[in-house]
Amino acid sequence: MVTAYSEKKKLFDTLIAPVMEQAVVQMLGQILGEPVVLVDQGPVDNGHCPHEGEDLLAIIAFTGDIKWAYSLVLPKETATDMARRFAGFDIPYESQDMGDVVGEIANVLAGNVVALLDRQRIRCQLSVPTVARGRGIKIFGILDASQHRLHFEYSGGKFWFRLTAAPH
Amino acid sequence: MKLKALVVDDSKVMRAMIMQALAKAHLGEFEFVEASDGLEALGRFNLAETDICFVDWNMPNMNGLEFVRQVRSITVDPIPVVMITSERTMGKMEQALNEAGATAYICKPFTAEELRYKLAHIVEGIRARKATHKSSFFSRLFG
Repeated sequence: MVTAYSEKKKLFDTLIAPVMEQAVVQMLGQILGEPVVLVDQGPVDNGHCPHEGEDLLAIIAFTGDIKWAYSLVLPKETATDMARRFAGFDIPYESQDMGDVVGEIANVLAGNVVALLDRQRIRCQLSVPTVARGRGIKIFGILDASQHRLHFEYSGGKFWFRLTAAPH
Repeated sequence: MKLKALVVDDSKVMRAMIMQALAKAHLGEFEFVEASDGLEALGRFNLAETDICFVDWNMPNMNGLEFVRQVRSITVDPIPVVMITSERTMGKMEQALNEAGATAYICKPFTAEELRYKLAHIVEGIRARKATHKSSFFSRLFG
């Protein structure tokens, strides 16, 4: 069991981004039926979504050995394509079902993250997803908390993750 | 013979996906009853009529694991309860199958083929049991 905050922070910095990448490539690759590619990653600058269009945002929080959260940001076009491939039928972007399916995708992905961390003896439990829709969504991180962004791409579009460690 | 299936998931789309996959899995006909959490599912669970339950793990109000425990505590007949969840650690699987008494464990995302592979013998057992009950009922009725 990991106890000290410095130890948890170090684990977050070194472990979470690679595990997240592995989980996304494995699980979303399987869901989408084609390879998903990490195109860019790095520290978070100002919290703005990296494009100006409309987005869907799904947030999952993790508790346990490391407390952290991820936000999945899907532009409208990506969300529509991803939802169709996941559900097997078309889901209108404006419908309640779209939020439902994006939350479910985030949830399935989080389950894979927990399983990958479990193999490294890091125990985490996941929250139910929170989903929001909007334009130019800004995510405020906690001051001094470790944050990391991952940008992915597949033929249906681009999408982003923002990983945030809890300060304690 | 239609089987009455209780499908429990807080995602409406996921419930639709489960029902669609079951229809594609060539496991025979089902009549579906839906619930969005464990508590609602307990209200819709009918001891005399429910043949099988499909239940998610992480849900508000009452989670799937608690639902399995509750069903096991009120039923003598082993009504199959299948967990369909994004929880995929060995610990969670053991907890559901060994501690709570779930009949089978399926990880999301799933395919119709996977459902068929994991559920064929369970569904066969239900149909056989129902056929036996029906024939013994008629035997008692007509001697």
